[in-house]
Amino acid sequence: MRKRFRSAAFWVVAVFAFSSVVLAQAAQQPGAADAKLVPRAPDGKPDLSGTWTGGARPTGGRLAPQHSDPGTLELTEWGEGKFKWNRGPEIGDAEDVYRGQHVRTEYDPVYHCYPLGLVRLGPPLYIIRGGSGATGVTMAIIQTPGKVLIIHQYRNSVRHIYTDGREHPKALENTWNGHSIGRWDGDTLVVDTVGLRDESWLDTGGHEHSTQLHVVERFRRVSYDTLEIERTLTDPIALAKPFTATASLMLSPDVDLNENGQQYDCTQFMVRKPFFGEGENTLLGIHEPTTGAY
Amino acid sequence: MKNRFMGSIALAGLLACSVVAPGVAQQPGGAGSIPRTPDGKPDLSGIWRTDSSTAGPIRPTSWGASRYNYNKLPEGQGARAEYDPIMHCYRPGIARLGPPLLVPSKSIQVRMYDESSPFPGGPSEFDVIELRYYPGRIWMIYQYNQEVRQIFTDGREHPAVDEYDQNSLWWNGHSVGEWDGDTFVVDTANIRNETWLNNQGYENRELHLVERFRRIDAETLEIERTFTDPVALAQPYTTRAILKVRHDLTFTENVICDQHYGRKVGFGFGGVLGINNHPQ
Repeated sequence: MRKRFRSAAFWVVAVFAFSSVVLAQAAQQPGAADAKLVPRAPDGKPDLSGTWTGGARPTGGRLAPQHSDPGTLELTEWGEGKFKWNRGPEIGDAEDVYRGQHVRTEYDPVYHCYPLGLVRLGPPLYIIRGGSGATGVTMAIIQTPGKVLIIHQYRNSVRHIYTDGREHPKALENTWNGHSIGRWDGDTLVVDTVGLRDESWLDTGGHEHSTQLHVVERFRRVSYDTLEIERTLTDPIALAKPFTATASLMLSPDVDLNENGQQYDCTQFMVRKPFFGEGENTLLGIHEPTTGAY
Repeated sequence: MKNRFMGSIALAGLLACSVVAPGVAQQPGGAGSIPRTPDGKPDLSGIWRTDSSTAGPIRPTSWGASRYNYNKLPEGQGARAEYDPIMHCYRPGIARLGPPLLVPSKSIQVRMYDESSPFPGGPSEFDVIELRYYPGRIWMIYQYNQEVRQIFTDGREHPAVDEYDQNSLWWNGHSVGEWDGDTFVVDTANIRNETWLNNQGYENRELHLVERFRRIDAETLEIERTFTDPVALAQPYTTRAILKVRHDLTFTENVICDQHYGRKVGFGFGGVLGINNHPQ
């Protein structure tokens, strides 16, 4: 009797295990009736692929004031100095100051058509003026064995996140989006990024960072259509304390990325600004000489 | 007890075999060893670098010829650099992105130790693409200027072109693709006209491009491109590139005119003060 019971229990477990595999595979098929489970890649990890939008209102931390809530970024003296310089003298009433309306836009790299850089690409994306400056992203994630690709709508900026076990190179050139490596911690993809150029800002408000900025992101597909990205910024030069905020994105399969995602058409800038001689920065209406050195 | 243990191992083995990774399935008796996707088509995905290429002659219209004569330097010296849009930080455009990549070596600068330097090897080393499948489209990512484009496979049509609407024209055009047997045929329209066709100074105005992607064998991808332009070209212009699979390659971040964004660039805001370089 006991032998027969054990045999039955074994088969119940086996059938259950087999049907979980079948269900998981069904979740990978488009249009499957019960495809609300988080899809899995062939290696068993959650599949983060998809077009994701949103993330304008992160929780846990605020780079800049948002309505009546103050910002939670804590700066070093160095960071505070840069911030004050970028904001310029406080003209206008307290309301304007509070809403961040008086940043010196001529110092904002985005007005000079610099690439945004990893942090400002977000989520949230920091390109608009006023309020916290945060807006939602649209991005496509393509997960493959060994690499996760993220393509942002904004300037179609591309991130390569290597998940093949490699380390950051010893001799690392600083780039706009840094060097990113990812490792799975259970069902969370932990992405570590270093090697960021310091010519970018953290947001629209004038917060800067140094080349020692270290970004750790935790990607978690908490449900079929929700992706959470918890991002922690550490910078011993610019930030007195690590800054963490979590953005939540929504799966948006009907949204197409397109080419003209950037708010300011930097083509105008390019037309007027030849390599040789001088040119006009039509975004700011100022005359900018260039070296012509090439 | 031992028998049951072996039995569960056998069952686990069976379950493991039932999880199939796309792109790995081999077509029994198919053309050589070409990897195929579950729908039976050749798998185009991966990282590819151009191994060799040919480009047919360009036969311009009289308008096209007048533009070419304006842009070129005297006999055989190429084009005037100051007229080349890439030298003004324009994006290269779908024609020059290739493959084959047809851009000036000088335009390939990468950042090394806080300085921008010319990339050794020039366009031939930089002629790398990555193809990735995605619902309803194939993404193409280029090493040069981290360009991307989508090839829509959901049967959609090109949007109507409105010359006065910048949103209906793209640097990399609007691409739709479908399979013709084992060849992937891509039709691209809505191409912006501020670009050149190659380094020599041939321009385009109403460019239309048809590309044929063919995975010849496990290691080789052929891309044949045929350009037509009723304003600029009297006859179709064809290029052909042979690419080899190179999964070992790591993309380098590349932004055209990256060297403009240094701390000290001549005078002005990039210069004396420098972006983020404040007197403190």
